[in-house]
Amino acid sequence: MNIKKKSYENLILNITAWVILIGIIVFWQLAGDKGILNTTILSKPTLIFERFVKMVGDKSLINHIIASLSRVLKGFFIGAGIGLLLGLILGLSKRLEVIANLFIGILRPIPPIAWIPLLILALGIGEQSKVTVIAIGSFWPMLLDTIHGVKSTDKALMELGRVLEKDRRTVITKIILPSAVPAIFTGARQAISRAWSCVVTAEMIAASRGVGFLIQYARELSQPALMFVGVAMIGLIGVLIDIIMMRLEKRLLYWNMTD
Amino acid sequence: MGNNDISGKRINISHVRKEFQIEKESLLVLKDINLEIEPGDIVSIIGGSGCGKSTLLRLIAGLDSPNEGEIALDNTKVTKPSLDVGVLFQESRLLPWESTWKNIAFGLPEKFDKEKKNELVAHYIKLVGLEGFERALPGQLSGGMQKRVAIARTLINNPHVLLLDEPFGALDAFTRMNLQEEVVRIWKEQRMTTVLVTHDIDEAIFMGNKVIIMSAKPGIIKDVIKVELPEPRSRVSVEFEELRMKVYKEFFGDDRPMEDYAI
Ligand SMILES: Nc1ncnc2c1ncn2[C@@H]1O[C@H](COP(=O)(O)OP(=O)(O)O)[C@@H](O)[C@H]1O
Ligand SMILES: [Mg+2]
Repeated sequence: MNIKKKSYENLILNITAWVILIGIIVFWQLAGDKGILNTTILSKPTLIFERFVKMVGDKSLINHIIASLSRVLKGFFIGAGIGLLLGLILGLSKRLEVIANLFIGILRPIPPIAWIPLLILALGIGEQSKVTVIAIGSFWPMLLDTIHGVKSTDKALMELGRVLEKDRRTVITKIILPSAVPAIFTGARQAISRAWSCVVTAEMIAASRGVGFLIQYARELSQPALMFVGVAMIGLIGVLIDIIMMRLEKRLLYWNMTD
Repeated sequence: MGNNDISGKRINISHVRKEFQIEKESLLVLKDINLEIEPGDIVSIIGGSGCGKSTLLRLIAGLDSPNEGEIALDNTKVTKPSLDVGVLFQESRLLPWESTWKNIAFGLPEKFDKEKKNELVAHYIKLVGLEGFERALPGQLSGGMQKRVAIARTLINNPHVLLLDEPFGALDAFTRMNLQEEVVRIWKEQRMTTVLVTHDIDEAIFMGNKVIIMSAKPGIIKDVIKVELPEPRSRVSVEFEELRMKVYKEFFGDDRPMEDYAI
């Protein structure tokens, strides 16, 4: 009864959110039509939508999206992969973690964008440096969440391992790693959304394709409609990635679902 | 599967002293504990919260070591945990991501004959009455059923010593009594030396052949009360009630009128 009431309330709130969103769009359109808003900067929904339809039609949009997504996936797998591995090692070894903490402390606050000049010098302006920027972005959340996950293994279960005379390997594979999976998954979720939001930064490096490129290209050409199409794609695909990751989480972490 | 050949080990606790270092202060938790538990016996240790019951049990289990004195099982000094000593904790401590079956099998050594493992797990699932729940995850089981899984996991190695640390404390009264009876039944079959730590006087009397009373600060053994009740024990017999009063008196001294305890 209570649950039903709650989900009903949620439905109403969700509808409210959508109504507000639609309201903003309608207001934007009307204000643009009446000349209250400067459409050369802010464009307006109909123009953006026209542009969108056109770009879907000539397949240019999907090409930009694919270009960005493939960079993001590459960067994510490299960055998050290294983060996971290093996180497991540091989480398992107190000594190494203490040593690493200094470096984590210094390096972590540096935003991925700050590495770009160095990356261009080291790797040139090709794909490599773009993927690396994204990899750096997704490395940190994965590293930190993995360390946290490994370290926060239930002490009671660790003691159970001792009582049952389990060797180190069994303790790691059957107790520590499964315990860390929820935290690792949280890390992966953050890593991929960080990777996606880094794509704009990465495509500042001499790109000729990609959604990030599209936004900057539109700015150079003063085409706000095109710019908004790009921005909207960043947002929409970001949401989509999050939904996919949440579904995946439910599947993978069936035992961890508090219901 | 006959386990009747299992007999318990003798537990010898001599001059055990245990202190914990907290910051710079040292906390004396156990002071000169001496205790001998006969092979195959079942004893209860009862005492207020914080008197060192768990600490004593952890020492017997080899999870911690005493500052002075020693603990021996059949004359072998305890230095580390062993599969021969089964421990049942207050919390069931199941692996939340594994099924009933896998959790129980986790009690066995990793390198164990597969066929034998299947047989043993099936046997213990039956022993604790969990048939049909082999594939259920801990989160899908009630507290009592989770406890049954933990019991099966502890017993699957045929331990010669069984240590129980307030194992039923978190369960409702009916489930608790039910499981007390089951553990006693299993003990009667297997005769592993069993030490039950509890703060429940009824549980201590119902399950133990002796009730060892501890007092706190520092933890010492205050008294040992023999339980001589006709078997099977009844919780509502006159003899049981007499023992209950005796234990109450041990706890609260004799300076209060009887009526005060017998509420
Ligand atoms: N690892 C530990 N470090 C410091 N103090 C501890 C530790 N374990 C237990 N103690 C202290 O020892 C005392 C006895 O604890 P415990 O054996 O758990 O009592 P009981 O099980 O009888 O309730 C308590 O005061 C507790 O705070
Ligand atoms: Mg305790």
